[in-house]
Amino acid sequence: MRVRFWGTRGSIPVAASGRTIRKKVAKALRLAEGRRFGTEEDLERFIDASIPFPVRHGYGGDTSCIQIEAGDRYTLFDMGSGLRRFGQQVMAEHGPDRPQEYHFFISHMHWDHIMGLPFFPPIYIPGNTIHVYGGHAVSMLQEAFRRQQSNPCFPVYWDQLGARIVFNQLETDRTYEINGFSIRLTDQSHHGGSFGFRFERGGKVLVYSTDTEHKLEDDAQTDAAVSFFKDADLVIYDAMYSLADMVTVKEDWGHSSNVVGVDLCLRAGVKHYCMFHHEPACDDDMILTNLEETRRYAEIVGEGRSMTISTAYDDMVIDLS
Amino acid sequence: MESSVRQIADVTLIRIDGRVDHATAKAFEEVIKPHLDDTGAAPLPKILLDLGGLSFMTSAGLRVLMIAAKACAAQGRDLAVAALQPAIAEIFKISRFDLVLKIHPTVEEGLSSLSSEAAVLWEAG
Ligand SMILES: [Zn+2]
Ligand SMILES: [Zn+2]
Repeated sequence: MRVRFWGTRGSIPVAASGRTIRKKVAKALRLAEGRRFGTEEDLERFIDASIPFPVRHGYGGDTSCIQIEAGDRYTLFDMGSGLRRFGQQVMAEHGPDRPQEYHFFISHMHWDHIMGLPFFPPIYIPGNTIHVYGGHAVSMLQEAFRRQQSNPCFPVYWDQLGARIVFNQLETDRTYEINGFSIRLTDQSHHGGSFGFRFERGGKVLVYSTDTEHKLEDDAQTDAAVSFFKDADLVIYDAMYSLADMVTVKEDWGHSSNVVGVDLCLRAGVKHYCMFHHEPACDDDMILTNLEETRRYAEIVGEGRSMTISTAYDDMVIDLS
Repeated sequence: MESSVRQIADVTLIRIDGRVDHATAKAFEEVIKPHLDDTGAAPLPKILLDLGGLSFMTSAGLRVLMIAAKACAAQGRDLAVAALQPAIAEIFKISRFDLVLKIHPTVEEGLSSLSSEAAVLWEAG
Protein backbone atom coordinates (compact mmCIF):
# COMPACT_ATOMS: atom_id res chain seq x y z
CA MET A 1 0.00 0.00 0.00
CA ARG A 2 1.29 3.44 -0.94
CA VAL A 3 0.02 6.66 0.62
CA ARG A 4 0.19 9.84 -1.47
CA PHE A 5 -0.55 13.21 0.10
CA TRP A 6 -2.28 15.69 -2.24
CA GLY A 7 -3.11 18.19 0.49
CA THR A 8 -1.83 18.48 4.06
CA ARG A 9 -2.74 21.97 5.31
CA GLY A 10 -5.43 22.60 7.92
CA SER A 11 -8.47 24.85 7.68
CA ILE A 12 -7.72 26.90 4.55
CA PRO A 13 -5.38 26.60 1.57
CA VAL A 14 -2.30 28.79 1.75
CA ALA A 15 0.10 29.93 -0.96
CA ALA A 16 3.66 31.15 -0.52
CA SER A 17 3.72 34.94 -0.70
CA GLY A 18 6.13 36.89 -2.88
CA ARG A 19 8.08 37.81 0.22
CA THR A 20 8.39 34.18 1.25
CA ILE A 21 9.62 33.15 -2.19
CA ARG A 22 12.12 36.00 -2.22
CA LYS A 23 13.51 34.85 1.13
CA LYS A 24 13.89 31.31 -0.20
CA VAL A 25 15.67 32.51 -3.35
CA ALA A 26 18.02 34.62 -1.25
CA LYS A 27 18.83 31.69 1.03
CA ALA A 28 19.48 29.37 -1.92
CA LEU A 29 21.74 31.89 -3.65
CA ARG A 30 23.70 32.40 -0.48
CA LEU A 31 24.14 28.63 -0.08
CA ALA A 32 25.32 28.33 -3.70
CA GLU A 33 28.20 30.71 -2.94
CA GLY A 34 28.67 31.69 -6.57
CA ARG A 35 29.01 28.08 -7.71
CA ARG A 36 28.63 27.29 -11.45
CA PHE A 37 26.73 24.21 -12.58
CA GLY A 38 27.90 22.37 -15.69
CA THR A 39 24.79 20.28 -16.23
CA GLU A 40 21.17 20.19 -15.08
CA GLU A 41 22.06 17.03 -13.13
CA ASP A 42 24.80 18.88 -11.24
CA LEU A 43 22.31 21.57 -10.34
CA GLU A 44 19.68 19.06 -9.22
CA ARG A 45 22.24 17.21 -7.13
CA PHE A 46 23.31 20.43 -5.45
CA ILE A 47 19.68 21.35 -4.68
CA ASP A 48 19.02 17.97 -3.07
CA ALA A 49 22.26 17.80 -1.13
CA SER A 50 22.77 21.39 -0.03
CA ILE A 51 19.48 23.29 0.05
CA PRO A 52 17.34 22.53 3.14
CA PHE A 53 13.86 21.07 2.58
CA PRO A 54 11.90 24.20 3.64
CA VAL A 55 13.83 26.22 1.02
CA ARG A 56 13.95 23.76 -1.89
CA HIS A 57 10.45 22.32 -1.49
CA GLY A 58 8.35 23.38 1.50
CA TYR A 59 5.27 21.69 2.92
CA GLY A 60 2.66 23.02 0.52
CA GLY A 61 -0.67 24.68 1.07
CA ASP A 62 -3.46 22.45 -0.22
CA THR A 63 -6.00 21.18 2.29
CA SER A 64 -6.67 17.56 3.28
CA CYS A 65 -6.66 15.02 0.49
CA ILE A 66 -4.81 11.70 0.63
CA GLN A 67 -4.76 8.87 -1.88
CA ILE A 68 -4.16 5.25 -0.92
CA GLU A 69 -2.70 3.40 -3.83
CA ALA A 70 -3.62 -0.27 -3.67
CA GLY A 71 -6.00 -2.28 -5.76
CA ASP A 72 -7.47 -1.19 -9.06
CA ARG A 73 -9.92 1.50 -8.00
CA TYR A 74 -9.11 4.91 -6.61
CA THR A 75 -9.31 5.27 -2.83
CA LEU A 76 -8.94 8.62 -1.09
CA PHE A 77 -9.40 10.34 2.26
CA ASP A 78 -11.19 13.71 2.11
CA MET A 79 -11.76 16.14 -0.72
CA GLY A 80 -9.79 19.23 0.31
CA SER A 81 -8.21 21.56 -2.22
CA GLY A 82 -5.51 18.95 -2.90
CA LEU A 83 -8.17 17.01 -4.83
CA ARG A 84 -7.83 19.51 -7.68
CA ARG A 85 -4.29 18.34 -8.43
CA PHE A 86 -5.27 14.68 -8.10
CA GLY A 87 -8.04 15.40 -10.64
CA GLN A 88 -5.54 16.90 -13.07
CA GLN A 89 -3.45 13.79 -12.80
CA VAL A 90 -6.27 11.33 -13.45
CA MET A 91 -7.52 13.41 -16.35
CA ALA A 92 -4.05 13.38 -17.88
CA GLU A 93 -3.87 9.64 -17.36
CA HIS A 94 -7.32 8.53 -18.53
CA GLY A 95 -8.76 11.46 -20.48
CA PRO A 96 -12.51 12.04 -20.44
CA ASP A 97 -13.51 8.87 -22.27
CA ARG A 98 -12.51 6.05 -19.94
CA PRO A 99 -14.90 5.85 -16.98
CA GLN A 100 -13.38 5.34 -13.55
CA GLU A 101 -14.57 4.47 -10.08
CA TYR A 102 -13.53 6.57 -7.09
CA HIS A 103 -13.99 5.78 -3.40
CA PHE A 104 -13.80 8.75 -1.02
CA PHE A 105 -13.77 8.41 2.76
CA ILE A 106 -14.83 11.69 4.33
CA SER A 107 -13.75 12.58 7.87
CA HIS A 108 -16.39 15.33 8.06
CA MET A 109 -17.88 18.05 5.91
CA HIS A 110 -16.00 21.11 7.07
CA TRP A 111 -15.10 23.31 4.17
CA ASP A 112 -11.41 22.44 4.05
CA HIS A 113 -12.31 18.75 3.63
CA ILE A 114 -14.80 19.09 0.76
CA MET A 115 -13.79 22.25 -1.13
CA GLY A 116 -11.83 20.35 -3.79
CA LEU A 117 -14.81 18.51 -5.24
CA PRO A 118 -16.13 21.29 -7.54
CA PHE A 119 -12.62 21.41 -9.06
CA PHE A 120 -12.41 17.66 -9.62
CA PRO A 121 -13.16 17.19 -13.34
CA PRO A 122 -14.37 13.54 -13.10
CA ILE A 123 -17.59 14.68 -11.37
CA TYR A 124 -18.66 16.43 -14.58
CA ILE A 125 -18.13 13.39 -16.79
CA PRO A 126 -20.94 10.89 -17.33
CA GLY A 127 -19.85 7.30 -16.82
CA ASN A 128 -17.70 7.98 -13.74
CA THR A 129 -18.88 6.65 -10.40
CA ILE A 130 -18.00 8.36 -7.15
CA HIS A 131 -18.67 6.56 -3.89
CA VAL A 132 -18.68 8.80 -0.84
CA TYR A 133 -18.40 7.11 2.57
CA GLY A 134 -18.60 8.79 5.93
CA GLY A 135 -19.78 8.37 9.48
CA HIS A 136 -22.37 11.14 9.12
CA ALA A 137 -25.91 10.49 7.96
CA VAL A 138 -26.30 10.32 4.18
CA SER A 139 -28.68 13.29 4.29
CA MET A 140 -26.03 15.41 6.04
CA LEU A 141 -23.30 14.36 3.64
CA GLN A 142 -25.50 15.12 0.64
CA GLU A 143 -26.62 18.44 2.04
CA ALA A 144 -23.05 19.66 2.51
CA PHE A 145 -22.09 18.89 -1.08
CA ARG A 146 -25.34 20.21 -2.49
CA ARG A 147 -24.96 23.51 -0.64
CA GLN A 148 -21.38 23.87 -1.79
CA GLN A 149 -22.55 23.64 -5.39
CA SER A 150 -25.57 25.89 -5.31
CA ASN A 151 -26.37 29.56 -5.70
CA PRO A 152 -24.64 31.85 -4.71
CA CYS A 153 -21.56 29.77 -3.81
CA PHE A 154 -20.72 28.12 -7.10
CA PRO A 155 -21.92 28.46 -10.69
CA VAL A 156 -22.25 24.76 -11.53
CA TYR A 157 -25.03 23.22 -9.45
CA TRP A 158 -25.06 19.79 -7.86
CA ASP A 159 -27.86 18.55 -10.12
CA GLN A 160 -25.82 19.36 -13.20
CA LEU A 161 -23.01 16.90 -12.40
CA GLY A 162 -22.47 14.13 -14.92
CA ALA A 163 -20.99 11.41 -12.72
CA ARG A 164 -23.01 8.99 -10.64
CA ILE A 165 -22.45 9.90 -6.99
CA VAL A 166 -23.36 7.37 -4.32
CA PHE A 167 -23.41 8.25 -0.62
CA ASN A 168 -22.96 5.64 2.10
CA GLN A 169 -23.08 5.99 5.87
CA LEU A 170 -20.68 3.71 7.75
CA GLU A 171 -21.17 2.71 11.38
CA THR A 172 -18.52 2.77 14.07
CA ASP A 173 -19.08 -0.70 15.49
CA ARG A 174 -18.64 -2.62 12.26
CA THR A 175 -15.84 -3.73 9.96
CA TYR A 176 -16.38 -3.11 6.25
CA GLU A 177 -14.68 -4.73 3.28
CA ILE A 178 -14.40 -2.11 0.57
CA ASN A 179 -12.01 -2.04 -2.36
CA GLY A 180 -9.85 -4.76 -0.83
CA PHE A 181 -9.46 -2.90 2.48
CA SER A 182 -10.77 -3.98 5.81
CA ILE A 183 -12.15 -0.73 7.24
CA ARG A 184 -13.24 0.51 10.65
CA LEU A 185 -14.11 4.00 11.79
CA THR A 186 -14.25 5.83 15.08
CA ASP A 187 -15.97 9.01 16.12
CA GLN A 188 -13.84 11.91 17.21
CA SER A 189 -14.30 15.07 19.20
CA HIS A 190 -14.79 17.94 16.72
CA HIS A 191 -17.51 20.50 15.97
CA GLY A 192 -20.28 18.68 14.16
CA GLY A 193 -18.47 15.38 14.68
CA SER A 194 -15.66 13.84 12.66
CA PHE A 195 -14.53 10.29 12.00
CA GLY A 196 -11.16 8.56 11.94
CA PHE A 197 -10.50 5.58 9.67
CA ARG A 198 -8.45 2.43 10.14
CA PHE A 199 -7.59 0.63 6.91
CA GLU A 200 -5.99 -2.83 6.82
CA ARG A 201 -4.76 -4.68 3.78
CA GLY A 202 -2.09 -7.33 3.24
CA GLY A 203 -1.04 -7.21 6.88
CA LYS A 204 -0.47 -3.42 6.81
CA VAL A 205 -2.44 -0.95 8.90
CA LEU A 206 -3.06 2.72 8.10
CA VAL A 207 -4.96 5.13 10.38
CA TYR A 208 -6.25 8.53 9.25
CA SER A 209 -7.28 10.63 12.24
CA THR A 210 -7.64 14.33 11.58
CA ASP A 211 -9.80 17.10 12.97
CA THR A 212 -9.91 15.53 16.39
CA GLU A 213 -9.43 17.22 19.73
CA HIS A 214 -7.97 14.72 22.09
CA LYS A 215 -8.41 16.31 25.50
CA LEU A 216 -6.80 13.66 27.71
CA GLU A 217 -9.61 14.28 30.18
CA ASP A 218 -11.33 11.01 29.84
CA ASP A 219 -9.40 7.75 30.21
CA ALA A 220 -12.03 5.84 28.25
CA GLN A 221 -11.58 8.21 25.28
CA THR A 222 -7.80 7.90 25.46
CA ASP A 223 -7.94 4.11 25.71
CA ALA A 224 -10.31 4.01 22.73
CA ALA A 225 -7.89 6.11 20.65
CA VAL A 226 -4.95 3.92 21.67
CA SER A 227 -6.81 0.77 20.71
CA PHE A 228 -7.91 2.29 17.39
CA PHE A 229 -4.26 3.13 16.61
CA LYS A 230 -2.96 -0.20 17.98
CA ASP A 231 0.14 -1.49 16.17
CA ALA A 232 -0.55 0.62 13.08
CA ASP A 233 2.19 0.91 10.50
CA LEU A 234 1.22 4.54 9.87
CA VAL A 235 -0.95 7.00 11.79
CA ILE A 236 -1.76 10.31 10.08
CA TYR A 237 -2.79 12.58 12.94
CA ASP A 238 -4.07 16.10 13.53
CA ALA A 239 -1.02 17.86 15.00
CA MET A 240 -2.24 21.37 14.29
CA TYR A 241 -1.44 23.10 17.58
CA SER A 242 1.13 23.18 20.32
CA LEU A 243 -0.15 21.57 23.52
CA ALA A 244 -0.25 24.95 25.30
CA ASP A 245 -2.43 26.45 22.54
CA MET A 246 -4.64 23.40 22.47
CA VAL A 247 -5.45 23.61 26.17
CA THR A 248 -5.69 27.41 26.45
CA VAL A 249 -6.67 29.87 23.71
CA LYS A 250 -7.60 27.17 21.20
CA GLU A 251 -9.44 24.89 23.60
CA ASP A 252 -12.59 23.48 21.95
CA TRP A 253 -11.41 24.53 18.49
CA GLY A 254 -11.44 20.85 17.58
CA HIS A 255 -7.79 20.04 17.00
CA SER A 256 -5.04 18.14 18.70
CA SER A 257 -1.33 18.73 19.24
CA ASN A 258 1.96 17.27 18.09
CA VAL A 259 2.86 15.92 21.54
CA VAL A 260 -0.52 14.32 22.20
CA GLY A 261 0.02 12.46 18.92
CA VAL A 262 3.37 11.18 20.21
CA ASP A 263 1.88 9.99 23.50
CA LEU A 264 -1.03 8.17 21.85
CA CYS A 265 1.13 6.60 19.13
CA LEU A 266 3.82 5.45 21.58
CA ARG A 267 1.22 3.82 23.79
CA ALA A 268 -0.34 2.14 20.77
CA GLY A 269 2.98 0.79 19.47
CA VAL A 270 2.63 2.69 16.19
CA LYS A 271 5.58 2.38 13.79
CA HIS A 272 5.25 5.70 11.97
CA TYR A 273 3.49 8.83 13.21
CA CYS A 274 2.85 11.43 10.53
CA MET A 275 1.89 14.95 11.61
CA PHE A 276 -0.92 16.41 9.51
CA HIS A 277 -3.39 19.35 9.13
CA HIS A 278 -0.75 22.04 9.50
CA GLU A 279 -1.71 25.38 11.00
CA PRO A 280 -2.08 27.88 8.11
CA ALA A 281 -0.08 30.49 10.07
CA CYS A 282 2.99 28.23 10.13
CA ASP A 283 5.63 28.87 7.48
CA ASP A 284 7.92 26.14 6.19
CA ASP A 285 10.64 26.84 8.75
CA MET A 286 8.13 26.62 11.60
CA ILE A 287 6.77 23.28 10.34
CA LEU A 288 10.30 21.86 10.22
CA THR A 289 11.04 23.17 13.72
CA ASN A 290 7.82 21.53 14.93
CA LEU A 291 8.94 18.25 13.42
CA GLU A 292 12.36 18.43 15.08
CA GLU A 293 10.82 19.32 18.43
CA THR A 294 8.26 16.54 18.15
CA ARG A 295 11.04 14.03 17.46
CA ARG A 296 12.93 15.33 20.48
CA TYR A 297 9.82 15.01 22.66
CA ALA A 298 9.39 11.41 21.47
CA GLU A 299 13.03 10.72 22.26
CA ILE A 300 12.57 11.98 25.82
CA VAL A 301 9.26 10.28 26.60
CA GLY A 302 9.90 7.21 24.43
CA GLU A 303 12.64 5.95 26.75
CA GLY A 304 14.30 3.83 24.11
CA ARG A 305 11.20 2.89 22.11
CA SER A 306 11.69 3.85 18.50
CA MET A 307 9.04 5.37 16.27
CA THR A 308 9.42 7.10 12.92
CA ILE A 309 8.02 10.63 12.98
CA SER A 310 7.41 12.66 9.87
CA THR A 311 5.41 15.74 8.98
CA ALA A 312 3.24 15.54 5.90
CA TYR A 313 3.85 17.71 2.85
CA ASP A 314 1.96 18.03 -0.41
CA ASP A 315 3.15 15.28 -2.80
CA MET A 316 4.79 13.24 -0.04
CA VAL A 317 4.64 9.48 -0.63
CA ILE A 318 4.89 6.83 2.09
CA ASP A 319 5.23 3.19 1.14
CA LEU A 320 3.84 0.62 3.54
CA SER A 321 5.38 -2.64 2.40
CA MET B 1 4.93 9.51 41.69
CA GLU B 2 5.31 10.83 45.21
CA SER B 3 4.43 14.15 46.69
CA SER B 4 4.71 16.27 49.80
CA VAL B 5 3.00 19.49 50.75
CA ARG B 6 4.27 22.31 52.98
CA GLN B 7 2.79 25.63 53.87
CA ILE B 8 5.24 28.48 53.99
CA ALA B 9 3.67 31.80 54.96
CA ASP B 10 1.06 32.43 52.24
CA VAL B 11 2.46 29.83 49.82
CA THR B 12 1.52 26.19 49.44
CA LEU B 13 4.68 24.43 48.31
CA ILE B 14 3.96 21.12 46.59
CA ARG B 15 6.89 18.87 45.81
CA ILE B 16 6.47 16.21 43.15
CA ASP B 17 8.91 13.33 42.74
CA GLY B 18 9.06 10.58 40.15
CA ARG B 19 6.97 10.17 37.02
CA VAL B 20 3.78 11.79 35.83
CA ASP B 21 2.39 10.05 32.77
CA HIS B 22 -1.01 8.68 31.71
CA ALA B 23 -0.84 6.13 34.53
CA THR B 24 -0.10 8.62 37.32
CA ALA B 25 -1.70 11.84 36.02
CA LYS B 26 -4.87 11.16 38.03
CA ALA B 27 -2.85 10.79 41.25
CA PHE B 28 -1.02 14.03 40.40
CA GLU B 29 -4.38 15.74 39.90
CA GLU B 30 -5.58 14.44 43.28
CA VAL B 31 -2.52 15.96 44.98
CA ILE B 32 -3.15 19.41 43.52
CA LYS B 33 -6.95 19.47 43.57
CA PRO B 34 -7.52 20.21 47.29
CA HIS B 35 -5.41 23.35 46.94
CA LEU B 36 -7.56 24.61 44.09
CA ASP B 37 -10.83 24.24 45.94
CA ASP B 38 -11.97 27.62 47.25
CA THR B 39 -15.48 26.59 48.22
CA GLY B 40 -14.67 25.81 51.88
CA ALA B 41 -11.95 27.41 54.02
CA ALA B 42 -9.96 29.75 51.79
CA PRO B 43 -6.77 28.09 50.49
CA LEU B 44 -3.45 29.90 50.70
CA PRO B 45 -3.30 32.52 47.97
CA LYS B 46 -0.22 31.13 46.19
CA ILE B 47 0.99 27.76 44.91
CA LEU B 48 4.54 26.82 44.02
CA LEU B 49 5.21 23.42 42.50
CA ASP B 50 8.70 22.15 43.24
CA LEU B 51 9.39 19.83 40.31
CA GLY B 52 13.03 19.20 41.22
CA GLY B 53 12.33 15.50 41.75
CA LEU B 54 10.14 15.10 38.66
CA SER B 55 12.00 12.86 36.25
CA PHE B 56 9.35 12.19 33.62
CA MET B 57 6.24 13.96 32.35
CA THR B 58 3.97 13.53 29.32
CA SER B 59 1.08 15.57 27.95
CA ALA B 60 -1.23 13.96 30.51
CA GLY B 61 0.71 15.64 33.33
CA LEU B 62 1.01 18.94 31.50
CA ARG B 63 -2.74 19.00 31.16
CA VAL B 64 -3.13 18.75 34.95
CA LEU B 65 -0.74 21.68 35.37
CA MET B 66 -2.83 23.71 32.96
CA ILE B 67 -6.04 22.92 34.84
CA ALA B 68 -4.35 24.12 38.03
CA ALA B 69 -3.03 27.27 36.37
CA LYS B 70 -6.44 28.11 34.93
CA ALA B 71 -8.21 27.52 38.26
CA CYS B 72 -5.72 29.77 40.06
CA ALA B 73 -6.03 32.48 37.44
CA ALA B 74 -9.83 32.39 37.73
CA GLN B 75 -9.53 32.80 41.52
CA GLY B 76 -6.98 35.59 41.20
CA ARG B 77 -4.29 33.41 42.76
CA ASP B 78 -0.70 32.83 41.67
CA LEU B 79 0.75 29.52 40.54
CA ALA B 80 4.32 28.91 39.48
CA VAL B 81 6.64 25.96 38.97
CA ALA B 82 10.29 25.68 39.95
CA ALA B 83 13.44 23.60 39.61
CA LEU B 84 12.74 21.75 36.37
CA GLN B 85 15.23 19.05 35.41
CA PRO B 86 16.73 19.68 31.93
CA ALA B 87 14.55 17.10 30.11
CA ILE B 88 11.40 18.44 31.77
CA ALA B 89 12.41 22.00 30.86
CA GLU B 90 12.73 20.83 27.26
CA ILE B 91 9.27 19.30 27.36
CA PHE B 92 7.86 22.59 28.68
CA LYS B 93 9.51 24.42 25.81
CA ILE B 94 8.37 21.96 23.12
CA SER B 95 4.78 22.06 24.36
CA ARG B 96 5.03 25.89 24.70
CA PHE B 97 4.14 25.62 28.38
CA ASP B 98 7.11 27.90 29.01
CA LEU B 99 4.98 30.65 27.47
CA VAL B 100 1.92 30.11 29.65
CA LEU B 101 3.34 29.12 33.06
CA LYS B 102 5.68 31.00 35.35
CA ILE B 103 8.86 28.96 35.65
CA HIS B 104 11.63 29.64 38.17
CA PRO B 105 15.09 28.05 38.13
CA THR B 106 15.00 27.21 41.85
CA VAL B 107 12.46 26.89 44.65
CA GLU B 108 14.14 29.78 46.40
CA GLU B 109 13.70 32.07 43.43
CA GLY B 110 10.12 30.88 42.99
CA LEU B 111 9.30 31.69 46.61
CA SER B 112 10.93 35.09 46.54
CA SER B 113 9.03 36.08 43.44
CA LEU B 114 5.74 34.91 44.99
CA SER B 115 6.13 36.11 48.57
CA SER B 116 8.92 37.87 50.43
CA GLU B 117 7.60 36.49 53.72
CA ALA B 118 7.82 32.90 52.44
CA ALA B 119 11.30 33.54 51.05
CA VAL B 120 12.50 34.75 54.45
CA LEU B 121 11.07 31.70 56.20
CA TRP B 122 12.62 29.40 53.57
CA GLU B 123 15.99 31.10 54.02
CA ALA B 124 15.75 30.59 57.75
CA GLY B 125 15.22 26.87 57.09
ZN1 LIG C 1 -9.85 20.51 8.85
ZN1 LIG D 1 -12.91 20.35 10.84
